[in-house]
Amino acid sequence: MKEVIEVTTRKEAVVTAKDLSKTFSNESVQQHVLKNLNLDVYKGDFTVIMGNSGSGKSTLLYTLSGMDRPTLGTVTYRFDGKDEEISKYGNDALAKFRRDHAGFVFQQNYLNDSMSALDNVMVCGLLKNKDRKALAERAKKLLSSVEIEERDQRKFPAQLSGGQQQRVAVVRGVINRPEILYADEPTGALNSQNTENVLNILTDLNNNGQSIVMVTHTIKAAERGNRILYLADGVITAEIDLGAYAGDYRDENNPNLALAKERHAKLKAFLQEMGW
Amino acid sequence: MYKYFFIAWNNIKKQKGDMITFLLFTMLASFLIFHCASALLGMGKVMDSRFKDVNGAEVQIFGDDYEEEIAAWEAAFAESKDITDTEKTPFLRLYCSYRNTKDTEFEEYEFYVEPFTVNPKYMNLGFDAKDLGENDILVPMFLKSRFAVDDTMELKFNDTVYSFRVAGYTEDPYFSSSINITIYYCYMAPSVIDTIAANHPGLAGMGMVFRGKVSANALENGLKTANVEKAVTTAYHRLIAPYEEEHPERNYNNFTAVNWQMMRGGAQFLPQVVMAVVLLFAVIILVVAFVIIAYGVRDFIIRNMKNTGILEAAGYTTSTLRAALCVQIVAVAFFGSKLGIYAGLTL
Repeated sequence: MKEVIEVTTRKEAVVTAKDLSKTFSNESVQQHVLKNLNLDVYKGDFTVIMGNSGSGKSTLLYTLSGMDRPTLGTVTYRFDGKDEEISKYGNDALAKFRRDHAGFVFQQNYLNDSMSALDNVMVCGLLKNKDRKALAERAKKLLSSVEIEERDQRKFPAQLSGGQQQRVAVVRGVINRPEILYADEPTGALNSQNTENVLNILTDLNNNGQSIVMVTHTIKAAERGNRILYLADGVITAEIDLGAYAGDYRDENNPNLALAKERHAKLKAFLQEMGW
Repeated sequence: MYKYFFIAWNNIKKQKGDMITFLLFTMLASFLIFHCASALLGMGKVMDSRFKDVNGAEVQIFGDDYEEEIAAWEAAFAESKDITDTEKTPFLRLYCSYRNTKDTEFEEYEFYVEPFTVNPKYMNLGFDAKDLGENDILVPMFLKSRFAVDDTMELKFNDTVYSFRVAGYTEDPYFSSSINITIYYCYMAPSVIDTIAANHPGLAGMGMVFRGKVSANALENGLKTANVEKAVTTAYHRLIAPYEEEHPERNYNNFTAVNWQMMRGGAQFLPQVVMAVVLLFAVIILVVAFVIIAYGVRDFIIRNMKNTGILEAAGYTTSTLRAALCVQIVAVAFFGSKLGIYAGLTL
């Protein structure tokens, strides 16, 4: 049963999942990963999905994002007051939908090793942007904003550090100005310093209006979200609204230290309640 | 469109080895196909063009120079309603050994030799040979690989050897291929022709070549030059018959009759067979190249599943990615073919 711990006035829902079910069949074995799940994702939110391994977090992310189709139920996007139900789309229509509205960051960066950092970003941008010069400028600007300087932009992934690679992957995810950036454990393969860097980038993007849905299993990453959903056995069992990120609760120089500590305590309590 | 080339170029970089192999195979195949196709399609045209250049005669008879035989051939040609004009030119028929002085061995062969000073109306040399001297000889173009200009060609009659400077080549469309007929058609100075004819009566003898020009209208209406040749030789046999009884010691059947359509087809037959075999070989190379690349691409797709997945997540459709792979293969095949054809044009 879904337990709403704290509800505040919500913004405009950009994605609505209704009675969402996803079942994987392997020969005679059926695994019900998502079970009649209902969810709204709001514009401008940094939504974090947490839960134990196998709870269906990634499946929910891929079903919401149009990477996969639900077995039952609907996923509806709302753009400019118009509803677009993507759950009934074919493969090509889904690809077009992802091109226009979704960006992705994965745990592994999966950068193309024969393309430079810039080209890895460009190759995704080319789908939507006809003006190559403008696209290249935007890609360079975005890469510079995540501290991939011009010299490094021409390097191949193998010549970059893991943190740099993941930052390139984040830029690749947002090059087409997606409505929602979907991140599946984006810091799962990074050390603590690089984790911090990537989370800062995601927070900055969110502060600039980018809606983000992120799957994570770390409190450190979850703290960046303003809305935390807890998933267990294919249903959202609880959610909490933390409000906007207030900075690092351990940083004594943080001007919002009190609020940051409060948010941390609130999240910790929430997760404890969920049996985390 | 740019996105296809962007991905295709990246794929090419990733499949460097396979792509180089594919490029070389397509290059080789297109080189061979270009050569074979141009030979198959152009050989007839080249021969026709040359036939026109030398003002070719559609029927030629290489006979002896007995007076009654000459008269019989003239009458036989005159009887044919399809022949509009006739010309006769003396020639020397030789059976001798020859070699390039760079070679050690002599080879036996038959030669027909005409004087280069005579410029006949039909089947002329196609160029002015007035500057050539007594020691000069013009040999068929297909001997170019064995005789360079200024090489010395020796003709041996028993113990007597004549040396000639190869002064150039003839491009007689009738005798354009050594496969066509076992005769080398050459040109020498008339004085040398006379000397050889006088000194080696058993191996060299003067003859007369008769050339008949067939009506262009009749040819356009489908007349076969073989039929004209047959009509002329039939008439000749009838006209010479009385002399066979009068001079039983003379062989009036010692003539060679040729017609243009037969010689044109004969000259092309073997080269065309060879070209067809090479063409088949080239097609096999091309098929092998595509099989190799098909497996290469399949392997590439399997190895790069994750990169493909990223592109699909970004919005690339399967058909777009498939098209990019096609662009990649077509682009390499295009450059391979272009290089092959360029090589074909320059070599």
